[in-house]
Amino acid sequence: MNDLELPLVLFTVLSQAAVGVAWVAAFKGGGSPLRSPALLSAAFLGLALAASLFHLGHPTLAVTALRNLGSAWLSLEILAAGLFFAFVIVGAVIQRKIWQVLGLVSGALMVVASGLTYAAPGYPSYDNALPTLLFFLTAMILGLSWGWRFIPEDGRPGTARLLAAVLLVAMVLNLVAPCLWANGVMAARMSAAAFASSPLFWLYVVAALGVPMVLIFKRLQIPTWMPVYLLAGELFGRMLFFALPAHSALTLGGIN
Amino acid sequence: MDKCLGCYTCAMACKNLYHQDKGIAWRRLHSLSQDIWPHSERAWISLACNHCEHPACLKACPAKAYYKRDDGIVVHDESRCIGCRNCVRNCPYGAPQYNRTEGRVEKCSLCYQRIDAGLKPACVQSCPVGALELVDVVEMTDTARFPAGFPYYPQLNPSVRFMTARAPMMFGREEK
Repeated sequence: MNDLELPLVLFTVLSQAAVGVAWVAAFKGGGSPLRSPALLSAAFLGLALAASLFHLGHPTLAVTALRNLGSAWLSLEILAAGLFFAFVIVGAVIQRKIWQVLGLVSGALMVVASGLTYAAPGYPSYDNALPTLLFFLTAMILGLSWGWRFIPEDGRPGTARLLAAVLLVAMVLNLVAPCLWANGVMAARMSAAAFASSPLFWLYVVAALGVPMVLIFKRLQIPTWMPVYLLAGELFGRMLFFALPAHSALTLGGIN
Repeated sequence: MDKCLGCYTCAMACKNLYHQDKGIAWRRLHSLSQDIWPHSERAWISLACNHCEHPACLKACPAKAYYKRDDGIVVHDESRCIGCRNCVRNCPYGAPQYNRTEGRVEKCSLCYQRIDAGLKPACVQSCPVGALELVDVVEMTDTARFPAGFPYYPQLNPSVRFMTARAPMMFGREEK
């Protein structure tokens, strides 16, 4: 089992929540830039960026993480996060459509760069599009649930249906991934075994994705406690994302 | 791999020269699993940084703390390291290691200071059976690039070559 990487758990989940809220406000909020979702988005991202500093061995050098924009996805992720933060803040103050569009684009870029940062050769189970897909699903789950109250009344049942569908996709993806790893290289097979044998993983799939999906689909509304519940679930799931996969170096000297 | 005794002298020479902290070892020995080496006499694979042609660590480091010398040695500049551990995640061979006390990553730099002074790297110099050699990989045509026990990452093109271990000879009285 790896480190839980709590600062990275907070950074990735909260930054994706920020992007999700911005998307929902833009696409479901009636088309006009809104101040409240922008502030909520900025609050999520501010907390995310603050948490990310605790991951670094030398936080005072954090700004030098922008040096390798040519080849490091992590540099691009930090740049996109900074731009997204700036556009969201500016968009909340100067309520013009252009800032909202720039925020949406930089937010999407941040989620892609974040996903590709974790598509690392050292973790064969993640060295593919899976982290990016999981991060987009997190952004949608948290964006739709936290952005719910900014959506006009007539758009809410459709949004609830969409959230239930996203939760279903997330559940399927989380179940299919370990099945695919089971036919991969040794590190991927070890990851498959770690996930499949972890009661915490099954708890995440059932309690954080399955149960909310059924509740939301049945009621076609999102109870006030649900956004907090889903956020806690995604934080829990992200801890498992960091803790359970096997690094390729564990297989040195063994069958690959 | 055929000569290696598994005596750990290479790993200890490296650790002694650079005073690596507890838990950190730039060079490590890995015993080949019995699934791929089914003999009671064990075989070993001695590994440090492989100084890949396309290093995953160098590509992934956001602070440009890695650079590649003209001779191919991949050097990590600790003064630039911010301790994000992205290289640790990316290198599939576990070469960069995080030092929690220092808050920085460190790894083998193939003793480039010794090489520049005309000396051999500490691991090569210390090996009592000559199992480690500093060679030009282009000339090593009859050696293995990815033997069993060494993960297959051709896109990184690790700059190491292996002479695989031969099955041990058995001496003894013939059963009648």
